[in-house]
Amino acid sequence: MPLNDLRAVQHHVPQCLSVAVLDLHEGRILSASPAFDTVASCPTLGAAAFEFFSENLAAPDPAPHRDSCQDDPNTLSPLQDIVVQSAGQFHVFCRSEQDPSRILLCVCKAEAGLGPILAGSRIALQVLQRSM
Amino acid sequence: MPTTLTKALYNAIRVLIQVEDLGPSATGVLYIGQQHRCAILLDRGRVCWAATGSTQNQLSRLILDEGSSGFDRQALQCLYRRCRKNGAPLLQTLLDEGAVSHKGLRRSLLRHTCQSLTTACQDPRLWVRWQAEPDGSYASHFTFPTHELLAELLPMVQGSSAIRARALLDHLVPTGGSGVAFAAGHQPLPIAFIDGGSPKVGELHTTTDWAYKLVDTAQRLDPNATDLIVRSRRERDAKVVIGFEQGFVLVVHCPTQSDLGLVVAKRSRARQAALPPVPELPPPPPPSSALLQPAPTAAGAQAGAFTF
Repeated sequence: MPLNDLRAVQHHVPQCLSVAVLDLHEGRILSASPAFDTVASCPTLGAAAFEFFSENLAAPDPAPHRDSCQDDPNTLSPLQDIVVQSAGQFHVFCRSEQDPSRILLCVCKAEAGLGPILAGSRIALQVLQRSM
Repeated sequence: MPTTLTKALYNAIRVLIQVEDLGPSATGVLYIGQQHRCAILLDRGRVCWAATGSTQNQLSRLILDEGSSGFDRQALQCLYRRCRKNGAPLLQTLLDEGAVSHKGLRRSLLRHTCQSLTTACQDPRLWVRWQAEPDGSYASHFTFPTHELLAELLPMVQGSSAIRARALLDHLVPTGGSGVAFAAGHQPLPIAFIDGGSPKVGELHTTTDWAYKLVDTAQRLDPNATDLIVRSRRERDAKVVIGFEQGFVLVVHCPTQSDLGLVVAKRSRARQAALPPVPELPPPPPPSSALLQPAPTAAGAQAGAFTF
């Protein structure tokens, strides 16, 4: 993915320190913003994404989620978005609806607030989907 | 290292899941332990009673605790002998003679069943045998769904932890939502739960197991993580907040987007309340002091507000 496209994606997420795009099937990060390696948690982001999304983790209540993931032809989990929040940072994992093997990873400063970060990440995901 | 009681809870949960797996029409006896230490009577998928040799005397004590004033051990023994002689059902006679209220007797049986289950499940190797009585019925006055037994078991085994976890869930779970808590860093056993419907113990166990894996991954990513917000795709677009508070992992299922906003806002307030108090600033030095420094602010420590 061209760096300019990635910058455009990052632009939509407030207080975003770094973004990357991960492919679960290929098992690698396809592209990452230049600052990606400078963020402390980034080396473990890919592994975390694999653990979150690769396993067909049973979703919690309600039961229909379990039923629906059983007939899922791929073995990906039914999870769509995950935000890991701490006092300083948000780690956002957004899965593409068009291609569920693609995950947008964002690391943001917590000052921006969860709502704007979530909204921004979803817009960023749409931008990403258009460019894929 | 799990304690004996935690192990007993783990085994009791497995037994309750087995009861659920037998289905809604199951009638018969589930024996626990190779020497049939405990017998659990099931009537159409619901538990009537569980008894062990070592908890035989506890039921009479529980009934006396719930009994009307003046109904003492001697009166109970007298009633028991009379029922045996006449072939009359003891529990019905207790109710008919007003020795104990319907509610009180139900509570006694529930508690006794849980005590028996806990005692029987302390053996590390759980041995269970099902004997169906498809044409039978225990004609029991009282039957209990598995989640009611679990709700009684949790404070019995986990003590004040279960009560504290339940209070946190009470505060957090939105109307129509559900929640389950487990102790952080331990085996993912439910410690408290809230569900407006009739949750299956198996579902609660699956949820804690599921959340445990997510929390484990999240904390390896960010050891300071305090919350996870999870959205599932598909039918119901489930939204789950997993928060860490007071040594518990709280898993809250939010039925709607606005519920999610409310739960996240409550978690934000809880985190802010948990922040160490800002130390009182020393009195400002005289203006002539060369040590004059800008006063520190707590702004950086404040978490962002959540807006949706």
